Formats: sequence, C-alpha cells, structure tokens
Amino acid sequence: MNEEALWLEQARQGDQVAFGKLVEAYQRPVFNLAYRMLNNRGEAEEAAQDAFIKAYTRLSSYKPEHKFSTWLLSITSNHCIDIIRKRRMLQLSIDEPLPPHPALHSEPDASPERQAVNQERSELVQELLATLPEDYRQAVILRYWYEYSYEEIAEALDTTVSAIKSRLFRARKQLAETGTEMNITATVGHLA
Amino acid sequence: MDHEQSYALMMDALDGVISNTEQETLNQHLLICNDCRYEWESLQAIDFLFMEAPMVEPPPNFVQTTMAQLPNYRLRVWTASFAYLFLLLGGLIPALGMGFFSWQLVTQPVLVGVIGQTAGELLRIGQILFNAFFQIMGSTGDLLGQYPAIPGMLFIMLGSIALWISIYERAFSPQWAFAPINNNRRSR
Repeated sequence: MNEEALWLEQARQGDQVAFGKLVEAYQRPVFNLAYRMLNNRGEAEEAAQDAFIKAYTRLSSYKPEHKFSTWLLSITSNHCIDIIRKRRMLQLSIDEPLPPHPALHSEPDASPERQAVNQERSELVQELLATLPEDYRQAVILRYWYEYSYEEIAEALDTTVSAIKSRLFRARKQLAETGTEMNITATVGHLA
Repeated sequence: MDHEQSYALMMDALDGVISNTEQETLNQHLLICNDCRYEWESLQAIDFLFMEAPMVEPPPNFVQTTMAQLPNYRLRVWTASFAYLFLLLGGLIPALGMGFFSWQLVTQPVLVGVIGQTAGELLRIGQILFNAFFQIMGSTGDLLGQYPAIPGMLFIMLGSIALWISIYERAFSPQWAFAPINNNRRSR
C-alpha cells in the first residue's frame, strides 16, 4: 500500500492528521484549478477549502479504482461551477479586473522587467479563460495545467470522451478567434 | 479542404497526434488560406501561453485554515449516540411502565369477565343496528316500487324549497338591498 492509499484509509476512519497530509499534497492543484476557474484569489481560496471539506465528508463514496486526484479535482471543478452560477444569479461580472497575483511574483531574483512580463502573461491567460463558458474552461484547465488525457478529463467531469473532444475543439476555436481579434501572436511574441 | 477539416488537423497537431501526411496537408492548406493561417498562429500562441503559465500557489497558511474547518466526526458520532440513547430511554421507560400496569389490570379475573361482557354487548348492539338498517332500506325500496310518484314529489318539494331560499336571500339580504352604485364603472 502506497503512502497516499494509507492516508486515505486512515482518513476514512476519521483520522484528521492523515487527511491533513492529503490536503498538503493536493493544495496546489486544487487551489490552482479554483483560481483558474474563478479568476479571483479570495474566492479561489474559499472554494478550494470547501472542496477539501466536501471531499472529507464524502470520503466513504470514493472508489479506490479511480485516481484520488481525479476525484478531488472533479469535486473542486463542480464546486467552482456552482459558485459561478450563484455569482451569475447575483449579477456579478466574472470579468472584474484582477488583483495582481503574488504567486506570479514569487521569483525574488527576477528582474522587475521579468516580473512585469509574468504579470502581463497571467492577466492575459485569465482574460482568455474568462471568455470561455465554464464547461469549456474546465476542460481547457484540466488539459493544460494538469496535462490530463481526454479520457481523464471525461472521468473527472463525468462525461464522455467525445463530449470532451468536442468541448476542447470548440474552446480552442473560440480562443483562436478571440486571440486573432486581440492580435495575440504579437502580444505573446513580445512577452516571450 | 474546408475550414472545419483544417481545424480538426490543427487540434491533432496541438495534441501531438497528427501523422506526417496530415501535417503536410495542413501545411499546404495554411499556405493558401489566410484565415486558417491567422487562427493557427493564434492557436499556437495561446497553446504556448497556457503551457507556460505556472500553477498558482495557495496562501502559506492554507492547510491550517482548511484543517480548522473540518467537521469533527468523532465528536459528532458521540453527540448523536448520546442524543439517540436519551430519546430511546425517554420513550422506553414510560412505555415499559404502562405495559407493566396494563398487565397487572388485565390479569385480574373480575376485570377479564367485565371486559368480555362489555365486548359481547357491543357486538350485539352492532348486530341490531345492522339489521335495522337493512330493514329500513328494504321497506323503503318496497314503498318506492308501489308508489313511483313519491320520488318525483320529493324532487319537486326540494326544488321549491331551494328556490324560495334563494328568493329570500336576494330580497332580504342587507348586502343586496344597500349595494352602492359603482360610480367608477359608470364614469368609464
């Protein structure tokens, strides 16, 4: 039994210390997914914490034949979709200007120019993601940041491989059209 | 090749699953189709941008704040168990007491006799009422068979009563007698 399986088994029996190890191991991917989906650091932190609490309370329904990370990211992703829907009901815009992300300036040795480029890139990425409908956004994030295969994305989002292929196809097409309008080739060339 | 086919090849190229022949076909198309070429360049730029974008780091105290919010299952289980036991005993003790006293009463021979007599009397009364009901129904049926005009007369009487009640209500109801004139409706 590997370390993760052991922590899972102990956590299932109510061992919070073991669950803490899982939180420590997966905090980065879960938080990143929430941030990329929600485009807001405060909301992402809250969503990521909620996702871990949901996972803890539903541990008995987790089936070990699936990857724990896929299961956890699926919970996070669905929770983010719920937040986006609630937000839409409250008539708030997801395109509100982003606060600069401290994590992207975490290179203490980087020159001010490099830090500025990082920030500009980060804003561009979030701006592009925000143009996508949330189900396309989920698929794109899992593909690019987690390097999931179509099959893994389909498993995480509880859908079929052909649906994911179609979503990614449309998402990329939409992104390309937006990118062409924004003259993204020149912008990325300038940032590279 | 149309734009859709060209797009399908672009997706395969981005996913790294394009064959050499398909790559050549795509390259040939991109040389002659400006729209597709611009979008392919955009796609490549976005692909590069997303691939290069780092994972965002959570705040330093993320694990501690998350752990502080976890529900304490053991405490919950203990609390629920105690509550359940309390409720169970709260219902069980009076039920047992009532059962004990009922048993004491029922086992007395005089009381058993009285209960038996009462039950017998109740059964006899029920039987009498049952018979009386069927006799009344039978004799009414015979009467209606001999004089078929009776139901007709009864219907006419009921109709007259309903009619007179309605007339009385209309004539003497204060709401009807002093109903105000609707000026608004008239002015329209």
